[in-house]
Amino acid sequence: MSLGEHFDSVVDAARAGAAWAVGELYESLNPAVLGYLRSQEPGDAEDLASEAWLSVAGGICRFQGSESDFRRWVFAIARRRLIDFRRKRSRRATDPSPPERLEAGLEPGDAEADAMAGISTESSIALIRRLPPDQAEVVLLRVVGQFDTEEVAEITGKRPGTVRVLQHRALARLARILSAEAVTP
Amino acid sequence: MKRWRDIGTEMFDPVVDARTEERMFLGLLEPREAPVEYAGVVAVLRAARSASVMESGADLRERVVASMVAVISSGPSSELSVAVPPPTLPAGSRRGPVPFLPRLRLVGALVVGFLAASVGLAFAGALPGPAQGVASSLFAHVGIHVPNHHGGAAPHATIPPKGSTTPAGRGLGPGRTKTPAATWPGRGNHKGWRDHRHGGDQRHGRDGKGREGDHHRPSDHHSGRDRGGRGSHGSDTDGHGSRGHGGDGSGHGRGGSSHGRTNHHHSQGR
Repeated sequence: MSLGEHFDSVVDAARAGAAWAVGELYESLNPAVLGYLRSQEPGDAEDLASEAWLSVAGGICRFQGSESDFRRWVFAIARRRLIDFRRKRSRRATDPSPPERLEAGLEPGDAEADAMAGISTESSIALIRRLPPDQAEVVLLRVVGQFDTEEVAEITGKRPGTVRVLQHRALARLARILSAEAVTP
Repeated sequence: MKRWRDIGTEMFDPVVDARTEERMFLGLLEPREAPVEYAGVVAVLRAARSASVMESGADLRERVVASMVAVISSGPSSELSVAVPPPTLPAGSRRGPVPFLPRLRLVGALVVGFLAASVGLAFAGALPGPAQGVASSLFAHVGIHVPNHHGGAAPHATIPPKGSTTPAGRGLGPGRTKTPAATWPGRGNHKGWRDHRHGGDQRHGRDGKGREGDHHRPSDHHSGRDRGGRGSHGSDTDGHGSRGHGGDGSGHGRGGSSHGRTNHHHSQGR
């Protein structure tokens, strides 16, 4: 949901602490943020999204820019929360992600036929998550976050050329995975 | 490739142009329009796109919005300052620049440690020869005894006030009890610590004795090594204590002794 020309007035009201404006900003972006985080960390996506929105609230008084800038900023914050979460989890190392959880959405069988027939969102996300992390991140930001290459480069701190290479490799790898699973009994 | 069945994956090298890729990411390409190898990929991307409309519960929304309003009302918090847009790092750098203050502290600690170690080595006389000499002369300026690289101690740079007297007998080592050591030969002969060798032919009074009440200049105490010159006096290294020797140059050898100022032979040459 885009706020369009009302974006500036909504942000001004949100800076003043108006609950309705904060709610509109949240509703306009949270589905995409939540989808992005769920595709990365299915079990902790809502907590991460909440933390990201609290960080947004802490910094919104200093924010200046357009609606696309705001989207990019919120996704950058969500990505940072995600990185922090993974770093803390790796330090604790108490909750390893079971492989079956990663593969839960991917049903065995003819993946290409399933894809052609209509693959579910969860299955597609699970398939993307089988990519190397940097490739999966680029694909998810492009598809779920609906950012272009330059925006993804800005969010991830990579060069646009690097992002293009990553997405190209990601698509080729997805095609190989689907092809391999199609020919594998 | 880990298994035999992976050989198909390894040999499969799909090719797609950038424009088609872009249409795939934007959801503008139908699976049937895509290259055969990418039909499944297009379907996967289109399905993943619907993840962007995931909704959270209404109660969660209310709680998050209320928390956001509370944060905004409390003003910008330093804890949440991470919310500012991330700075653009130069390409290839994965970390931000090292903060200046910790770096300055590190440099300061290194400098202090180096100085402390140098001073300690200087006092122990363990510095290399030239460095020890420099340290000895530097500390001599502030009146601190530090051995020089010859093994002796640098003299005092501070000169006690005229008229200060010390017992003549103190510091004369065994066998030289009758020889006044490093007596200040005369007024104006401020050789300082370099005046460390006196030829044996100098006249230290007729009787050659240092007596109680002789005026000595302590700055002549440190006469360096006795390198064979006859009548060298007051070296700290020859076991003859030098304290109490040296005067203000106003006369030596009470009881008729006189010091010829011009007869002093300062054998500094080595």
